[in-house]
Amino acid sequence: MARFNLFPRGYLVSLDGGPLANVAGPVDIETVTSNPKIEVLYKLYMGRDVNPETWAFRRRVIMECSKLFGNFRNWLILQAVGNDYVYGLNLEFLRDTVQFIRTGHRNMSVLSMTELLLEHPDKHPGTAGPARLEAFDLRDTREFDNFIGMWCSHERGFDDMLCTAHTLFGVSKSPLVPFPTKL
Amino acid sequence: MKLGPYVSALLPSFTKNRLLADVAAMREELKVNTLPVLKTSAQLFGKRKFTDEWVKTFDTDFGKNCPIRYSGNFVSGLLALSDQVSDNLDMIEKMIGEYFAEDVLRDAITLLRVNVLQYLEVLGFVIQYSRRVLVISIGYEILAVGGESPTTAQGEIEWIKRHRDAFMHGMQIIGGKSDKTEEQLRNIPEVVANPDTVGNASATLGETKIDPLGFGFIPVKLNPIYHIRMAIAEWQNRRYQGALEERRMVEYRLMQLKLQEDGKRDAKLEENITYTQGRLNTLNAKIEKMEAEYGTV
Repeated sequence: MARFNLFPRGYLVSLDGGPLANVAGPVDIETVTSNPKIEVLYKLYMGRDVNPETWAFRRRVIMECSKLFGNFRNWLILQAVGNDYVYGLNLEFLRDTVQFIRTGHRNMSVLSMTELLLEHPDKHPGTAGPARLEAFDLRDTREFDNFIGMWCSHERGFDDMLCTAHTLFGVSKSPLVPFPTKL
Repeated sequence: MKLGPYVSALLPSFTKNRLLADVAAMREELKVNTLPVLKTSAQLFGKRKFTDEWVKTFDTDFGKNCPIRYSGNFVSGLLALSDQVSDNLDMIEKMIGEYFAEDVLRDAITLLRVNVLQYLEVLGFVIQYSRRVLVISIGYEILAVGGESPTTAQGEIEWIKRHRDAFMHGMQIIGGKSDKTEEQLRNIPEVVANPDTVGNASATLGETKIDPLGFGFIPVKLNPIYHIRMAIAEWQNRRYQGALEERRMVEYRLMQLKLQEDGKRDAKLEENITYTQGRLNTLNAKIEKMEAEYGTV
């Protein structure tokens, strides 16, 4: 059975990295509050507690993004074809992200967009499907082989990648379950 | 602003660093909060035939005054203008480095330096106006095509209308090619232009020699930081916060217009527009109050 993590804004990550066809069969989806490593890196970055220009920091961000997205093309196909939790502006955010990776330009900044995304979206069965792939124009199968390099090659690309990863895999602004106040 | 009153209104002294910091702030404002939304706006609506009457008139007047060739409506024109502004910022920064000493003294300032200062003020103003007119115009368009748009504060609308002519003239000045503008500035005589002597300079050399770019046709002071001893950090912070909110407002309204034209609505987006508009109204009211207190209109 294919296993997935479901993040607060509805994005899925495959835990097996297996073939996409797995999503059509029986699946085990575990809802998670965030990816803790991305959460820490984002807090360090936003709190200016770290110099984001250093390789030590960049390396940590790149490694986490690489692990979370895995094969970026496949990850995108998963959201478009196999994820009924992503629709509306949450899907628009993915289109805008792909545009940024390709051109270095977003229609809306990540911070503005994050305010608009649905959190804990309901599943809309039948929303996902191959028709949604058209908006991503994924004809070139090798295009995103070096997606991190493409992303970071744009001006403020590294910052965009970290903020995007936090929106996709970070905590909700209104968590369903309160965070523990004591460890 | 005419050279005489402009020089008289300058602070007795300030530092070159203040000018360079102002250039850096403008570059940031342009790059982070203006160019991205202009690109998106031009991409989505740069060829649009406007529906709202005020926007239509503005578009026509923009076309008549813009010194840069562009295709489409004024939104595409603003993008082309901003690319030129970006080049001109580099040019003016170079000239500040070359012509200004560490301390700038009003009584020893030269004609050329006064022109550089005025150029810088107009440049900052045009960047700001471009973004603010975009917020208003998209809001008007949303209303004109039958959508709902939260009320823009009356003060904001008045600011746009009051400064319209200054903008039209300002863009003619700062939209010029950087090499040509640089040459015009370098040809201004290095004659001292303190409040006592500037009248003589005008009579002797002629208005076109001392003000070749035509700053005299812009009747207002546009940036108080060279005129008033004030809390610059506070002023700049409010300007920056205002720019951030304006950027967000344009992004949200563009999205709203796009959804509306696809026959869709998004409750969260509308809620955020109302919230952002409220914050923007408050911030701009504070800036207006500061401008009124400091005598810049």
